[in-house]
Amino acid sequence: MGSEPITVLHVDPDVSTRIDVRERLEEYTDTEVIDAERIDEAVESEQRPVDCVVSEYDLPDGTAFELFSHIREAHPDAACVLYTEAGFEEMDKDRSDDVVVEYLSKRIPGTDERLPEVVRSTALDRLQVGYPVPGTEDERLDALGRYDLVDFTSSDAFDRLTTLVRSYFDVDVVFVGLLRSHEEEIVACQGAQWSSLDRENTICTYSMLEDDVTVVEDVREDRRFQHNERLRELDIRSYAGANLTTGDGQVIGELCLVDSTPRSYDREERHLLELFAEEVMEQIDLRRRLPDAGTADPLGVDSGRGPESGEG
Amino acid sequence: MKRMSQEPKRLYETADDLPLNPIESGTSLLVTGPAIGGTQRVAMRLLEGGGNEGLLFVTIDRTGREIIDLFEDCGGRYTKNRMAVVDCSEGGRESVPLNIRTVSSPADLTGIGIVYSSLYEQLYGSNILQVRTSVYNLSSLLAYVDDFTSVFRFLNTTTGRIRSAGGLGIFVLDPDAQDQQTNHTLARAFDGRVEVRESGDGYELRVRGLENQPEEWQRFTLPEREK
Repeated sequence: MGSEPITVLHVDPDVSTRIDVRERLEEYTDTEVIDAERIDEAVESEQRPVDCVVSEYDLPDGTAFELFSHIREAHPDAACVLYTEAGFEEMDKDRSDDVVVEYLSKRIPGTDERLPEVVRSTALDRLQVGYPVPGTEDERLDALGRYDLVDFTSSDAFDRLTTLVRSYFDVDVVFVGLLRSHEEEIVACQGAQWSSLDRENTICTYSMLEDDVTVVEDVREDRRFQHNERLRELDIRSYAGANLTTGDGQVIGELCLVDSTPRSYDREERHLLELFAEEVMEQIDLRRRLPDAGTADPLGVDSGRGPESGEG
Repeated sequence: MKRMSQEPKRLYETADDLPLNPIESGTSLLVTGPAIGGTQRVAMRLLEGGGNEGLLFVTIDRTGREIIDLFEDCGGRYTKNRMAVVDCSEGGRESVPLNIRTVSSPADLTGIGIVYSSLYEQLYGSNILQVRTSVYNLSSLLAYVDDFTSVFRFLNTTTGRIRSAGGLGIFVLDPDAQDQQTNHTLARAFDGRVEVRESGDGYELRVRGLENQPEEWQRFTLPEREK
């Protein structure tokens, strides 16, 4: 996330609290606050991604738990902070979702001053995400940002590569995924029509942390994934993933094999998957180097792509 | 993931009978070893600090009273004006004199987090800035919570609070209760790992992931009455 600004959604029925929190948070020039009085108003203003939601517990049209559940459906990595008059004993014990939040009681003196620090560290350090994050995540995202992959999805080379890989391993789906800050963007895919998945629902989020090829022979037998509904919906029963690693050692994505049945991969198959991943990475690198050879706009700098646009 | 705090690091002293150097504030450690025996005693010894420190227990499979007894059996002294317990165990009961707060089930990670945070803030509000946290134990928590994402969110949130508040976290895991891959993944939520094993009439430990701590097995004994 590095130098990207933080967007905070603050929901509180009390106008003076809203003003006070806004003033405290916007002392930081990189922090923008959207505020709302009620859940429905908050949901309306939450059209763009928010990094952190701060809320009073008792809202005119529901509780903060309902708000947090709603936000996390759209933005699973959003940090949630209860900043409230309510004590735990006054809160609804029959919550349907486990939201896991930070909690600051307005009754304890000094928490108003602590709030900006809690909000910022929770959002910037990704303290509420539901998965392990690489130790060099900021550097890794910077490395990924240096690649513009606008040509990637339409490139015949990647279609050919993924078709070849699928045919060789005889699996249902082969895809190339790039691990962005909150989602895995699927930039080439054979056997399914996937475009992006939340990081917390991808096995790649875990395999990117390992040096070697990661194999999950049976998702339903693996404690980490067996209760993941999204994987079940996508009929992902077995998985093999190899890292796409930049020259300076940052893992920007994965080349993955997915099947609807449990299966294993022997040493030679793992080695081959690694070789294919190296080939994919070389193709990505090649596209990045092309401007030096004088190719017209190969990075798509005129294409109007967002912040991931390459530096050229 | 670990953004370093701008404040200078304070150190947490470790008990004389443990072969460990002082540990930097903000650190969360995973303590692994057999469920019975040395592991729990080492974890309890790691919680013993100076007179001005705070201590928070999150207990899953023992009641609040049992965890306080265990802490005191291992040489600690429970002082209720700077110590408290979040008791999620089945037989848990609130106790004002002992500063024990209950959460109805270990599966209620939201509730555990809220009660833990409120107790932490109360200590902070009393100007107790060095706080040790014990989560005992993660294997039991995993048995209650199906969704691994929620478990990881809870761990990231708790270790994150410990890091940003300059605390020390001691999380106990029985490595035989889950598969190796799960242990390996869980360890990623922590700054380091203390491995404990029994050896003859004593114990051994080694540390992974922290500088200035023994990487090779170190033998040590704990006072007889604690066994």
